[in-house]
Amino acid sequence: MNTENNLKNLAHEYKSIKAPEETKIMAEKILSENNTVEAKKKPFGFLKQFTAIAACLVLMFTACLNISPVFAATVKEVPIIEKLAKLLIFRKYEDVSEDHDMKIDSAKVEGLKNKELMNSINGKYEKEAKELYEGFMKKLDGGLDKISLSSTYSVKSDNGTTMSIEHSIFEAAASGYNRLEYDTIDTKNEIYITLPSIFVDNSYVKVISAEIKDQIKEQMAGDDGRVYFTDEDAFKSIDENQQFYINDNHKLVITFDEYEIAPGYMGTVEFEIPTESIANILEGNDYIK
Amino acid sequence: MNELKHNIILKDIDKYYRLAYYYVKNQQDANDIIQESLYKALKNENQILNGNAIKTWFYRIVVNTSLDYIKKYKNLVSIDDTNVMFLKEEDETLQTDLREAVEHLSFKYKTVIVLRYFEDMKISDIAEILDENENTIKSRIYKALEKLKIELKEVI
Repeated sequence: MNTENNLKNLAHEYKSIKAPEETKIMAEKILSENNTVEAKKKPFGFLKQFTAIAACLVLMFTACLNISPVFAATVKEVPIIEKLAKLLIFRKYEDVSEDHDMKIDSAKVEGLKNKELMNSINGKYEKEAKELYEGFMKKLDGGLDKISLSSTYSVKSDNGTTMSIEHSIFEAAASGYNRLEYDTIDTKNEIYITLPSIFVDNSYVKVISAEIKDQIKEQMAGDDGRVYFTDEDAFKSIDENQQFYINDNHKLVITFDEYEIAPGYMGTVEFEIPTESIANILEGNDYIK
Repeated sequence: MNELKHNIILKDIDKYYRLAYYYVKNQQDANDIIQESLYKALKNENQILNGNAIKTWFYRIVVNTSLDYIKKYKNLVSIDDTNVMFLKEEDETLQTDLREAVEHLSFKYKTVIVLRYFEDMKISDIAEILDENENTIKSRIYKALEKLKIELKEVI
């Protein structure tokens, strides 16, 4: 019968393990470098983009910090290709202090002829910003601190036929969690594009899932350290309304949140689906080439 | 990352190292895991707001990196006995049995045993490190102790 003492002895053995000198020296060297180290693995591209915007915003709003948690000012205007339209991204809520950090942007599409589409998208963004704000304030009121929330929008792609807007939400308590959501629009006809609407029927779920499984296998067999869950959390199938966007090369890209199908350090992951693999189930539009 | 945060990690480097070492059982692999974890920490430094959160945050990185390392290289992990300590003879059989039993635990169970009984962490900290709720951690500890055939008067 194993006893508490045996466990204590093991604990004692364990605690006698010390990091060798070479590890300590290596650690000091790595932590003393001031620049972000070259990423050996998938870079958090969107985070860099967000950090750049965040840096601009901090400069612009230094005077406004701590004065009011709610204000709006135009931060960024992104013109939409071949249209007299643009996406405006602006800071909607902000509350920065020593203990917590909230920066919530909202976005607005302006200049499309289809007012219904515009209002529906803009309404969605406004609602999202408000909900994120209320959720955060609730956590604060509930006594949580050391939390941060950043939410912003950007044009992920705009290729003359379709445009995808990316909504990036980053939350941190003891560790960070990032999720990405997309809205894709047919810019020529000014229609909202959903994943099912791209295909003739819902066999796309099986086809795309199979393609992703293949890509995962390939990536894990390769040697740049890409790892996906292989146990009960392993990827099985996309959702009918899985997050996606259409990139500047008119290719379908399926995306997953952090921790959804891979360990946290992989960040959010995405898979470009080769058009040949879905060509025969595409609805007759020319969104995907 | 600023100096204060660096020092918090450096101060506990033995702890992080021995966790990694406990999983992979050799210096070189443990060193690689710590190195990889530090790179990840630098890359994600803006996730961290304050000093207290850093420990659980970095522990989490080390646990995840160790798991990924094992999954990737599990056929190649070798054992060296640089850090093995030997006990009095009469205890040795039971002790060896327990030592082996813990080492044979799966990653999930091994992790909670190490963090709870070797590093004396609070359940809430373990829950944060492993991104699970506290009840999950408690039940995992109970199950691990069952597997180890240990009866403790008080688990938590």
